[in-house]
Amino acid sequence: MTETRLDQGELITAEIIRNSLETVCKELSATVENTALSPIFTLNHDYSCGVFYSGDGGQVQLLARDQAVPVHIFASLDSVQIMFETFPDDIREGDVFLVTDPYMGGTHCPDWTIIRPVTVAPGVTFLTCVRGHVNDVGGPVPGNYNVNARDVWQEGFRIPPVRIVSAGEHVGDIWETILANTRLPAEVRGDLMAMVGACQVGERRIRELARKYGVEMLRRSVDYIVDYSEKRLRATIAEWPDGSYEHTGYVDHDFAGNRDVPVRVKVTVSGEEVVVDFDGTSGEVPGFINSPTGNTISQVFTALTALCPDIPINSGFFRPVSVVLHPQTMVNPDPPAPVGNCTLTPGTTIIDTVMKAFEQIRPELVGTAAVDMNGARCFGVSAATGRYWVSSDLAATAMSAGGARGTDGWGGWAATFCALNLPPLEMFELQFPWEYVLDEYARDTAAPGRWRGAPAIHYRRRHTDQMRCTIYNGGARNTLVGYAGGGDGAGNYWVIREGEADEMTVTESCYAEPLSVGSLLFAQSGGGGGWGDPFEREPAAVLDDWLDDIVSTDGARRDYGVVIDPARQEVDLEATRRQRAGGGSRSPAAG
Amino acid sequence: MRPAFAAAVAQIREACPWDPDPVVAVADGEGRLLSASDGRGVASLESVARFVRRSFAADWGPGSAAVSNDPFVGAADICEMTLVSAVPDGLALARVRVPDLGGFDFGGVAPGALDVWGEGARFPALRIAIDAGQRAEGRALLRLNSRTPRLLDRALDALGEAAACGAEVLGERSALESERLEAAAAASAALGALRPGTYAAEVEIDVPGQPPGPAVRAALTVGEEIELSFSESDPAVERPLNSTAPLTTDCSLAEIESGVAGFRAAPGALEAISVDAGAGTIAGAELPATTSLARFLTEGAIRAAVQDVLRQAGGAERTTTWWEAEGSQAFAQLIDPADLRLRAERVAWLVELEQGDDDD
Repeated sequence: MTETRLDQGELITAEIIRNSLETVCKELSATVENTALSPIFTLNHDYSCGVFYSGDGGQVQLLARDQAVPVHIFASLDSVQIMFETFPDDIREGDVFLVTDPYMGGTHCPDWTIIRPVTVAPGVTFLTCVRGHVNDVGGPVPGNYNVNARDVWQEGFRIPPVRIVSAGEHVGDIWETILANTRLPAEVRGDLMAMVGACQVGERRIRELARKYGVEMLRRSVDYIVDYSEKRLRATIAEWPDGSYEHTGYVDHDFAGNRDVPVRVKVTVSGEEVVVDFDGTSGEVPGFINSPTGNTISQVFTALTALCPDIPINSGFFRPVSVVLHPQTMVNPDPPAPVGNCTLTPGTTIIDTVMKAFEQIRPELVGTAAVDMNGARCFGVSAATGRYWVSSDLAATAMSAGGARGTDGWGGWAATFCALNLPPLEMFELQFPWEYVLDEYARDTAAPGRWRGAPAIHYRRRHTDQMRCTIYNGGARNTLVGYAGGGDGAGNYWVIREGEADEMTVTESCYAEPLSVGSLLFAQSGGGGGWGDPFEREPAAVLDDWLDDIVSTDGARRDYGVVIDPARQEVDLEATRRQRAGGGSRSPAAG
Repeated sequence: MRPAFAAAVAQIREACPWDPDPVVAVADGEGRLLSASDGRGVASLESVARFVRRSFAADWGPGSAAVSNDPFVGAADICEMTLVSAVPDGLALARVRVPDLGGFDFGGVAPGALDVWGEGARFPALRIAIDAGQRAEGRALLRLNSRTPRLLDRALDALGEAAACGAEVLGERSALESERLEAAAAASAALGALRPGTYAAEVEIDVPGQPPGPAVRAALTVGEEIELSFSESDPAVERPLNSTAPLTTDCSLAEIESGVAGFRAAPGALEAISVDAGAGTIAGAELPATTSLARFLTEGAIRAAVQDVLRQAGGAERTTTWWEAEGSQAFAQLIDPADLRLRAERVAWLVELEQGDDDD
């Protein structure tokens, strides 16, 4: 690497600039949250913001990002690059671009990337960027999770790099074309405006930085910032033992009849560099779990950033790592393979598999970094208002946090994967036609570990209007994995029309199933894996879980070797010692 | 047919062998249709032309071109693409079917589609040329949403070249205006010969291999004004049988031409009769209804209903319907989703054509 050298004073300025760029990202993020229309933005926070940079027309680099959904912002790097290449000499001040195609740095069709180039001097271009998951982008299935898709056209409208704002003016027919291809044009227009507006706020801040510190200092600082991350990661890798570390994970099914689809990873550490090779991974599959390169690489870096939490994340972080993706495989498909579910599946399995390989190198740093693999989209027309609606209720799918060294899994998503928010149930009850009946931890479902995973959540709602429901479920059998001897998560499933004659348990998928007024929908979202040997868990922690009804008396004995006296509500230490010494009847997985 | 139109139609047919029935037309600067290569699509072409002009009110001049495939603007279904090109003194239009624009199934025929988005991508009015130069972004958007991007390119190129004939045809502007007036007068005279009164007919949509579909109800009022209304038809359905107002009007004019001596489905004919497709009905469906099988199937019912009311009003007595004479055969050959063999053959042929273009 060629290192950018700064003097002591400049180093301080560079660090201020680095933090300023991250603050710009936070302001972008706040702007989107405060101005977007749809709950998927305002409540769930399913979007990410970043600042990118290209010097002298060179390769685009990620400089800073807000705490967000890594799969969004890492993959955006390719989208920004492709936008740059599509309009090489045709970018003017005030232009804003949009690109969404999964095969152009995208992930799946609903993830839209908005890019605003900010040229502060010839050859010094920053790019403010928001990638967000819009609620519907046309195609056959409302919400775009088409469990029957066999090509990408069955997943929604595809948008190559297009200019949506030209020198400050909206490009009318492009906007109208885009909005003609969503079932929710008013909502999506609002979200799109929010993203465009946020990028404009970002532009203002970048120009302020250029004015304050000067273009040359800004340019040298960003070179330094990126080099610094590279240097830090190289130093970290150099401490890891050279060698090859392999793991194979499995995806439950591909939504087209193929089961236990393998994701194979070989991590090779050599000096200051790492190669992550996916040789042995399944070829392209017919169903919608193919992962385009942007998604695959992003998932790899999601795992890696979790292993190195104190290194600033930017393009310098990516330099010492090579990801080898073999053509026409599930993790590097050719168009038009369907990809709609890639962020969840195989995204989760990719992260888990990379983590499991690194478990052999840094077991104290690994843990569930992925998001859970189940999801549902419901849609209908409100009987009261006539309004068409599409909903993703993340409350049903929330429980992916696993145990990590030093902490139990908490009630929500794994922090590494995302900064998604669980929606306030009351807000969803106001906006969508259902009432929540149940939303609580289920006993004996937490993945056992010295630090256990989050318990599975049991969720039930009653519908107050008719609707249809599409479910795309993974992780029923190949659940979120445990680490360092911890057990695996409980797994996911759904029950639609619970208690009715035509009740249906869904462990894989259902498509546009009708749900009537009064019907019940139940979900179990399984929880991340445990970390460490559960028989090493502090008995007092097990007692706390027992008191909180997270573990039963039998479960404490079986999974943790801890004998609890229910009458006295305390641990029988002697019986526990004997139980643990004998190994008990240990369960590798809860639930 | 005007020689310039004939040449343009031949040109499109040669480039797009999958569609034997392209149409070309010209309109004035506001989209009022002046002349067309034949009577099919008189209403829907004018609807598209007017929509495009409204969409690009301020920024439109010679060298501009836009395309539209939106059933709720004027296409019969998603795969019917109309190009509107600005030429001196007006607009040139050219229409051809394109092999595919995404959606659930190849070719936009998607019996399982929940709504129009399941049938493919909608382009209400997308500009593909500005100042006589290609607009790459427009083409890229279209191409990316087609399973047959090269055939789509061929079609767009052919439409563009065919539209060039518009300038030549519009050179005879005064003759075109006279023809339009004559067509309106002839239509008025022909319809005036019908017996005054109100006549009603009901025809269920014949869906091969399935129970009959919803009913189309036509009411023809012959008086000082002549009005054809479909407002009593059954509501739009969650099946791809829904006809939009422009298609229903086109079908009606075509059937009147067959059943009323002296009436020509030509620009100007709509000045003699008002057609109310019935908003929200199977004959006047609105967004987001599915439409992919309306062409032929619902058209068959609309034309049969119109044939019936015309007969009651003193029009021609005919023993066969359009569906029996033409529609069913064309439907079977082109889009019948029940005939998998024919469908598969046609798709395979189009894919081969696409790959042939690829090899080129």
